[in-house]
Amino acid sequence: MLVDLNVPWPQNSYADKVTSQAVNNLIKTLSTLHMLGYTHIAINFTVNHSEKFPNDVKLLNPIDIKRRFGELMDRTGLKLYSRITLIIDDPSKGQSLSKISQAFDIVAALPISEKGLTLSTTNLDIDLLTFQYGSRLPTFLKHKSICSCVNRGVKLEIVYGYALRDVQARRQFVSNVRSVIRSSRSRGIVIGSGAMSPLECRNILGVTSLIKNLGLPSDRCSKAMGDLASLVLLNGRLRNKSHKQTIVTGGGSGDGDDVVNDVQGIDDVQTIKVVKRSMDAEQLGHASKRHKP
Amino acid sequence: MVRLKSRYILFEIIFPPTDTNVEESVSKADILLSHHRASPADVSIKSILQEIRRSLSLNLGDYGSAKCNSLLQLKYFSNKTSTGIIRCHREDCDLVIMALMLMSKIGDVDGLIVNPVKVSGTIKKIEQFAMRRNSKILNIIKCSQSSHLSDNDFIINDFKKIGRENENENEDD
Repeated sequence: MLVDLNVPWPQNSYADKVTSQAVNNLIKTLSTLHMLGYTHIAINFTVNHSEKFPNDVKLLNPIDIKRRFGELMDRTGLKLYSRITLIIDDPSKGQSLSKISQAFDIVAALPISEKGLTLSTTNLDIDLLTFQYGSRLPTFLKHKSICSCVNRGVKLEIVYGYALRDVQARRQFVSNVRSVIRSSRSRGIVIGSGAMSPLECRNILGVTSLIKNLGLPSDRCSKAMGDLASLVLLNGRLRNKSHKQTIVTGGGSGDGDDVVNDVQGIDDVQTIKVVKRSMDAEQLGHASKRHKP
Repeated sequence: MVRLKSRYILFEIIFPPTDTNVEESVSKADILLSHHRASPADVSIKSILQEIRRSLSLNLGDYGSAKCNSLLQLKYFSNKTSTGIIRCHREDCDLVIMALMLMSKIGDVDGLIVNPVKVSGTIKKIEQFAMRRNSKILNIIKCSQSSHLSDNDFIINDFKKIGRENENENEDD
């Protein structure tokens, strides 16, 4: 299982129009990613937190995966998810996330100021924390804030697409990734592509060697694109579809221990299924260490 | 005396379709076919090596490029299948893969991805892997397109050819 959590949706706000060209480009990007071996992909809609969100829950999610990408999913076996990334600048202007998170599978935060970073590491109910790797980080990242965020279950995202654009962005990318890895003590890191075009997709071997050279141990590199990233997907989906993240009703069509796939068919069939989650020390963070006998 | 340890990297050049006006079909075989193309004559062993060296010195500077350059050879490249094998030093294998990943053009040919597929310790194993992989890809294409095979005969022949070429190639270790 190979997961890419970040393929940008060609819209920057709800007011923007989506052209068929842009959607075509997105489909081409998705098919290139499929060819490179990815199985689970999240389409990422980036929007400013202070923007006015539509009141209707149905209008909240402009991606409409079933209609636009249904054929692609059927014929290639690709699994697509929707993700929203909120650009957080001034926390006072933002609104509550509970309504927004109903419409999307994953909720991510992208702080661009120090206040925004403090808010998103402490209070916000999100699955992912990401940064603009092409420009300077909003503030110096401290062990304390980032590690507490990781222990809470929020993962940090590295977006390698910036390394492929221009020299300036690549330089900034390297220093930002280094500081993210340092501040999180290389725990809880996931990797996404952020590919705007098919030419910015890379396979796991290349990305692993890039991130490995930037200081993340190689076993965590491959986990960052597999296990941990699928955990983000699971967490996000369980938020909407389970009772207190523990019990899910509905029948998945038996992939055995693949929990992300099991959550797939929740609304379709009316039976009860118990989903067991295996947990290891890395996923639990500090909690497991404290309770060791 | 310790023998010189090296690594072999199997890579392929992918040409993703970028024309956004054309809608393409999205079945597995069509995706495979639209990405794999014969590379133009400008892409040769010489130009690829040149581009790798350029990418190494751009991304890793004098130190990194000189380090990798000590044992950097392109063992094999076929324009028809756009597949190749690079030999490099065991310690610098990661740096070479990173340089491959950060490449976006070769010579004047634009719009391609250099995709490292597999790293191995001997050239024999990597050849076997390439053949197995190609026949797997072939099977996917054959299964879904058995009705109009003739359109894609050339690609299938190419894949067969690389298998034969690889078999004939001598191990020069």
